[in-house]
Amino acid sequence: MLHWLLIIGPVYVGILIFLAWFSRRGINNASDFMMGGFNVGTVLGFMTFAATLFSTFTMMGMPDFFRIHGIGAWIFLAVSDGAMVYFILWFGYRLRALSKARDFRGMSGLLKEIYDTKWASYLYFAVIFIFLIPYVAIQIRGISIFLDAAFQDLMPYWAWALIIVGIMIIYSETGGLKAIMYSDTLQGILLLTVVWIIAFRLLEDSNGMKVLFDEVKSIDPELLSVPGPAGLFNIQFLVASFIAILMIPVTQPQISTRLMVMRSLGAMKRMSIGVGFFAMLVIFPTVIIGMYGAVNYTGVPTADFLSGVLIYEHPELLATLVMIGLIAAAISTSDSQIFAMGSELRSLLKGDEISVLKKTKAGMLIFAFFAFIFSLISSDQLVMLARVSFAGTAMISPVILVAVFFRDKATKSILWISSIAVIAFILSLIGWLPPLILKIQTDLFLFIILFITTALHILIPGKN
Amino acid sequence: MKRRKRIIWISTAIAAILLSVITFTPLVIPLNNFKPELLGMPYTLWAGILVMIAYILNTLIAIFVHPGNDNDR
Repeated sequence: MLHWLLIIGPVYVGILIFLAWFSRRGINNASDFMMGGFNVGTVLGFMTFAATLFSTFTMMGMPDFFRIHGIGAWIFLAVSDGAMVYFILWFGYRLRALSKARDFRGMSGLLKEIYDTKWASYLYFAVIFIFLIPYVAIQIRGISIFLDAAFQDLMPYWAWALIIVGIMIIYSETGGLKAIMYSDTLQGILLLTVVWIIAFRLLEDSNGMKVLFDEVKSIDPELLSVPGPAGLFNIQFLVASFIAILMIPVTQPQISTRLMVMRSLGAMKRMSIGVGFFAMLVIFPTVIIGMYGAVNYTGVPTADFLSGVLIYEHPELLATLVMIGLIAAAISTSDSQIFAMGSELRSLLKGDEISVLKKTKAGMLIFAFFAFIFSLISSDQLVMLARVSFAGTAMISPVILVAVFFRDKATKSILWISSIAVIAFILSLIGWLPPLILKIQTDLFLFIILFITTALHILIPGKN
Repeated sequence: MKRRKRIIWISTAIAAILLSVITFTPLVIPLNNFKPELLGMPYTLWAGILVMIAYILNTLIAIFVHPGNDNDR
């Protein structure tokens, strides 16, 4: 397989170099570099949105999630994505309307302006730093461990991680947002193609869908319903996950930026429906891969399951394409996140464009370094860590939602409410707060408190 | 015409909320029950697929009655 990688790998890198060069040609100012000139069409917008959202988390995390916890994972991710796609129409529309008369550089800057205090921007930036760095890190770690398992003894996994971070940072700092979007498109097509080819092959091996599910039934029928064998998919977990995923376009800058850079509202609307179709098309094959794993890889460690089901069971050429697809997925999501954090940093900086851009690029390098370090020490549970990232950033959703939908109510009270929720959530993660409060899962409890307090804040007349 | 569009737009919001509520009831996720099956798929999976298709169709309808101007930047 190594010889195929040595052929296809350079082709992929060559395409990246071409795309970076091509994008660089169209850059005339900082806005072109950071925001793609706010001129992104439907197809590019939908592919970049989908590729940023569905990454190694989907390709590697979800099959393993289905294998271990069963089909409740569909409700966890796919149904939540369906709701999110609809919500984009409301949120994206209002966010774009709010930013119309402003020089939108990032959510941090926008919040500072609306709330009229730096606290709003610092809170947003701190939260995305705390919860996005681990999310970037797990993408890098996931693919590095996978490559390490696939090419045993070729090099240590930290070296794989370093190569991926290196490609990511050079690429995004050269070509800017447009280059990232082009590579997202490439990755999205590759990911969707290989995941379906793999699913078809595994389904054929299993003699069809019915036989596959019958075998799962005979091994562990609990995989076929909620809450699943480990009891993970209880109502509380699913509802809390639903809220966290619904809030991704609101709180995660790599996604909200993509709503803002669309050429027109019409393009944004068409993009949202495209993402809905893409979500269904990309998640369904992971059900098949996961169920196949439940039958053929029972009790096997994650890395062995993934390397087996995605690589070793397939012809070398397909296995190589899978590998390139996974590397592309890890790079495209990570560079989008690092770049979005750079955009947020830029929206906080003052000064002439050239020096701000220099500082932004330096900031991106530092973020990438943190992500690399964290990738060496984080856990292997891709989906659960991603969920922590979604839930963590969702704690500041009242700050953004109030700014966007109820601007007159954007006062410091909302910042207090969200700051306390973020601190409480972090304390729960490090075990200083119990996992359950009043028999309610802590993150769900915090969402309920946030909802009640924010609703009261909006309903009570006057500025409070 | 404008009023009709607005009513449909609001209806899609109500439909999205209803879909979200229904998803977390035994209608879609009955505990420890995978029957009835469809094409071999367990109940929660195919019901979940139907919910997702319903979300997408609802979004598709919403796009045509959305209050914003498509040409707005």
